Amino acid sequence: MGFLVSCNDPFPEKIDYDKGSGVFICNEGNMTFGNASLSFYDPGIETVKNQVFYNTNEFPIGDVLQSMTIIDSLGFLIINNSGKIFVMNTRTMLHKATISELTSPRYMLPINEHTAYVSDLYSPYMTIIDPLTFEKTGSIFIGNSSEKMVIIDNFVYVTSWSFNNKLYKIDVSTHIVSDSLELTLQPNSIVVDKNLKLWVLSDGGYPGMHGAETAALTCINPITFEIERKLEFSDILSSPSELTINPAKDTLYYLNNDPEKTANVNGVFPFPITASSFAEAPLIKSKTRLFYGLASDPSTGIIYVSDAIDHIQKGWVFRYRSSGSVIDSFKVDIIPGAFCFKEKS
Amino acid sequence: MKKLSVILLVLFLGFSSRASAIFDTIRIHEVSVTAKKPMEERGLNLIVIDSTILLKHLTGTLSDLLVSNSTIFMKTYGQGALSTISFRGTAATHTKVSWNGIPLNNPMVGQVDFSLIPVNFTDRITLLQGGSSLADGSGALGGAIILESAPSWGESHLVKLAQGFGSFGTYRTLANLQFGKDQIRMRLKVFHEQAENNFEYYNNQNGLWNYEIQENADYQKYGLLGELFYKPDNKHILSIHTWLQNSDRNLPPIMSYEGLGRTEYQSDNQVRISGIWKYYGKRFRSESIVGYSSSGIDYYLANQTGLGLFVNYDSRSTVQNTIATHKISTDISSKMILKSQLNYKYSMANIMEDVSLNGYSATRQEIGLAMSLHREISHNLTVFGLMRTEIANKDFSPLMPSLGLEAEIPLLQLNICSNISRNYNLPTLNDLYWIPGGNPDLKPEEGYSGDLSITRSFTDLQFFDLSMTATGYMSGINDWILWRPGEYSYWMAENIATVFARGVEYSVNGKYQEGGLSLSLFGTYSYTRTTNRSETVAEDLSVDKQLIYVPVHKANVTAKAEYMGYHIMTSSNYIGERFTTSSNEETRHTLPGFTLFDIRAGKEIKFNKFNTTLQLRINNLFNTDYKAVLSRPMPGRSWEFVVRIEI
Repeated sequence: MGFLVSCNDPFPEKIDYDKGSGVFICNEGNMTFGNASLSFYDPGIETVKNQVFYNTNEFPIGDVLQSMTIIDSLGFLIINNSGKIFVMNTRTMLHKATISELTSPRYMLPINEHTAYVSDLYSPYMTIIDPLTFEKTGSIFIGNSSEKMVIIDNFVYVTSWSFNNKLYKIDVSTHIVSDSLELTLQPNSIVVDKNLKLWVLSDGGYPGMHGAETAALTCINPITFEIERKLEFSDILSSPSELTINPAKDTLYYLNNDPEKTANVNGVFPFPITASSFAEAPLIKSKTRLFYGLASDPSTGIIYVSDAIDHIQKGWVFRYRSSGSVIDSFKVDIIPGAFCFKEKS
Repeated sequence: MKKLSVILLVLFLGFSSRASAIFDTIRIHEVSVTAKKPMEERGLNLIVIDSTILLKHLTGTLSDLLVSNSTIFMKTYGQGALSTISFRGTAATHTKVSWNGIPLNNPMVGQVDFSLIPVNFTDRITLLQGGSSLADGSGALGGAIILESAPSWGESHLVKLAQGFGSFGTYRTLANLQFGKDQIRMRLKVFHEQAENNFEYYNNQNGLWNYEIQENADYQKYGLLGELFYKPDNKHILSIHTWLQNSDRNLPPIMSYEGLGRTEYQSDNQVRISGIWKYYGKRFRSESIVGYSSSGIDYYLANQTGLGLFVNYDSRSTVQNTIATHKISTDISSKMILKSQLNYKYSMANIMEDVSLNGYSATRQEIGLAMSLHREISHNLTVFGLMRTEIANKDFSPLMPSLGLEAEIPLLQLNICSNISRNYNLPTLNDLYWIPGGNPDLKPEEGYSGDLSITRSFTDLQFFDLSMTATGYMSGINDWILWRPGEYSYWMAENIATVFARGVEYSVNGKYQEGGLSLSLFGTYSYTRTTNRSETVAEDLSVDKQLIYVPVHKANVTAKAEYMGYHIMTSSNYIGERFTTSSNEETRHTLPGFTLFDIRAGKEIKFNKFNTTLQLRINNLFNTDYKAVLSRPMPGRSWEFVVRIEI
């Protein structure tokens, strides 16, 4: 019963350990194990704190922490297989609210003060939430699963990754899909460059998959919603992922298998937006490791890469300069995937 | 935990020292050794589960029976839910189960769901431990479990009915009929089991700190067993066995789920038919088995959305096995038996998933040949040797030898049995052909194992029977198949790991009988260290760490008293700490050990030809809060009332 009482304490000790900038690392955890967790790294003091959510709130995040989005001082933890979003104060790490009764949420994109979109793997709808009241306020019919999103002016562009090959364009004034574009199979990530062009990375599916094709990087004009360039990868087996962009928004990064590899290695590849072909060699070689997550700090350009090792032990995060040289590394928790950068507040 | 192992160690040493004290005063001419194992079993480390244990678990599953009556560990998701085995620290695919000659392991996944095997559908359970399993077949790196039917020829007509009902909407019904005359026996067994499984539990995983009712964990299963036995003379028995079974299970979400709602279920449909002809000659015995089995598994996952249910996964898999086995046993002399066994198995598997339109079809043909010899060197020493070879499709496996010996030391009332072997386990069809990541180039897993067991029996005590067995074993498995992430976005099956499993098993069995009073005590303890020896990826901290979900310590104790038709039985099961990370790092996701106490009490009432037993069972007597699997709640105290009628 002592345990019960301590858990019922509505005001656990507040941890006001960070008001500065830093990066949250979403440790997905193993699907159905319910062992997702959140880590926070403060580059100023080069210190990582693991289990920051559990240690503050004394209950776990749940099953598969897919991603995190920050709006002002609030962090929205998108917990895929628990069908919910936890809202957390990013200064105190205290749980503030739960947005429940979602289907299979993946990512969240703020649209305006009262609107954010949440993509969904297992629902043909996206969910509209109010990030101030933490309520579901509506839904957007896509007809397929939805994955990563970007916004340019009045339109949201969302990839439909799982067994699909579409990019959908949503008018945020009506929350209705206004157009869709067929791309190479399984578009898994999307970024916007300095010229306001869309770049979409498709993994092409896998060998033996229905309709599998060669992976491709596609550049799209968002206004005409037409493909401007499409570059196919040379290796039919390639399944590139984690498309990200540097702060100057002129160089893309992605993870792919290393063509010079021995077994089981990949790397971070750069792609300047003016390039006409893919880099032969990675900027950052994983060597004997296997990279899983990738992000670029929007303020410093430092490249963050995660290694989930065998996926059933605590993983690592490595930081690299844009030159490819390593800065440092730190140990996080089970299956570090997404990164979420917190600005100085 | 450490304390427990010490207690058990003391228990064994204590018995040993007492045993020697007894020995000092033993008058030699009174020494008698219990009925020796038949020569064909000597040199093999095997355990035949006592038939009274089968009777106690008549309405239960093989999973429940093995957990509380052997050193075997089962990973179970709850009542009626998936239950997979770890025999001597190995994976679920390393235990082979057969029923009347038909392999029950699904060749696609390689494992058996023990919650789908009703105890009532078998009459004899034999555990072939470690390398001794080669006597029955290959691939059982942990061990083999053999289930067989045996009618009672003594009686022509038998009727057995049982009805149980209990907490969480649990109903179990079974009816067994046996009829026939002279040389023919027919048996019909049916069962039905259902449960709502809607128990209350405390949810500390969603931030609400509330009591919740487990949802979507209900199940229903029913089965029919028809058997015909024909014994034209004392030399032949012909039998046909047909087992039909259906199971529908809903699969509950985990404790942290707060989504819009989901429907997840699995249906299992099984048909198993075998025909057996056994011949018992004077010096020559043979057994011919032909069999067919088909197993279908439907798995469905749909999530609730604004548009209603949206189907995310909808797969149908079917597996068909056709088998033929011929076994010959020849008494070369009164001190030597030569045996040979020829196995043939043809498997056809097909899976299709309707959302992704992915699937595969595959077939596999396996032919195995084994020769073995049991040779009695002296009255108290028998040696055993076996050689097995197999061809799977067109690939020859390396030779699989097994050597054993069995010695009796009558003066000390000791039996010593030891066995060493090399064994190979074929990859599952999913390992080979799953899309994506199946790897057709996989090699079989290679296992070396050795064990030594010592049994001490006390049979010269007036009202008391006592025996104790201590076993030590070691096994190494090379080319252990693991699925792991690779350079592409999907995971691949690879012969990557080396695993070293070793442990100690201890069991004690005591019976006291005087007048109308009967007391019995049965206990087991197992210490299992099963560790990964290979660094499969860089910075891998799993080297020399315990495999996940395999407890180092497991123990159980069952005590039973019977007097004048009344009985009371208590059983307690201890499962030690289990890691859920390969690195065994201290995390809050390490599952703590727990002990569960069950108690059963009842009365047997005889009325004319009716023999009625009434029994009340209370499970988890002390309402222990525990978890068998991460994020899966387990029920607290529950009860069940069972009525059994025999005519």
